[in-house]
Amino acid sequence: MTAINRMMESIRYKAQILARTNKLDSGIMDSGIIGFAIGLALVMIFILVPALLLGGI
Amino acid sequence: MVEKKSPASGWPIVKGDFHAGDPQSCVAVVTMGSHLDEQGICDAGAAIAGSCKTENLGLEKVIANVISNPNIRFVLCCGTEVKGHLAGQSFIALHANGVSGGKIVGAQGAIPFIENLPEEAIKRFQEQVEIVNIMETEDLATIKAKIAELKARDPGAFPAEPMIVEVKEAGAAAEVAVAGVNPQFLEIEERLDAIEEKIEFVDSEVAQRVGRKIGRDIGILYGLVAGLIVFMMLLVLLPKLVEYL
Repeated sequence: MTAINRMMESIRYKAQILARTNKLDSGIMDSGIIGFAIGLALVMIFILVPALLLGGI
Repeated sequence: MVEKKSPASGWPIVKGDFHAGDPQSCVAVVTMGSHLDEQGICDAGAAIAGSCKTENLGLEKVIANVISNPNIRFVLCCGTEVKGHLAGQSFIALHANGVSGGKIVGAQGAIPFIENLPEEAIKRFQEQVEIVNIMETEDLATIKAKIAELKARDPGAFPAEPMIVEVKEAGAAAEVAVAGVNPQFLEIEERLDAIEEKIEFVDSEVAQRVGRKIGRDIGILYGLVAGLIVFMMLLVLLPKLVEYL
């Protein structure tokens, strides 16, 4: 009985880690594209637009 | 011929799941969770043979029947252990270590509490008998051979009168409770499970939010790098392109 309980605990622990990793992964994948767009927009706003306005390019 | 005594009147004094044989014999056989040919074991020379499935009332009954017969000097533990209760292990622990605060010292069974036996009865049991441990043996030939071996070593009756103890049948309810589970315990377990489930859910949500933040930050970094590359290309390549045209 004790051995089965230990095994159950181990399985539960592994399942928790798996679920957490999966959630973290899905969070990263979910917001990556949005972040990329934000980054690109920042470059446009702070570098490209001023450069164009000032006639740098 | 070794000295023998008369067991308590009406021995075995406590009723249970066992067969009684020759009351003058020095061997009692406890088959724990196994149901073997108990009559056959008695015919082979045992004073009493039967199962013992619980580590509380079951043990109390065995001890009550053993100490009420001074001729019994060996208790042969055989058969399979009952899962969870571990009556065999608890029985051996009781003989070796006794009881402290009602609990069998060193017993690994679920509820190893002795409630119906006074301390003198346990002490008497420890002094009167020797435990012979052949647990997990169900082979009748091996058990019978062991009985014959122990009978050959018979030291004679224990030099004291039979000790009679009463095992209250009210304890039978406790025995049933052992087989099942305390309902309060079940309720608490259910609540703890529900709490654990909620904590796990919140934990996963937190992990997902952290993941989103990290993903967004990494995305911004990639976006900045990509934008800067585009800017550099425009800065360097566009004048050359214009010149060429």
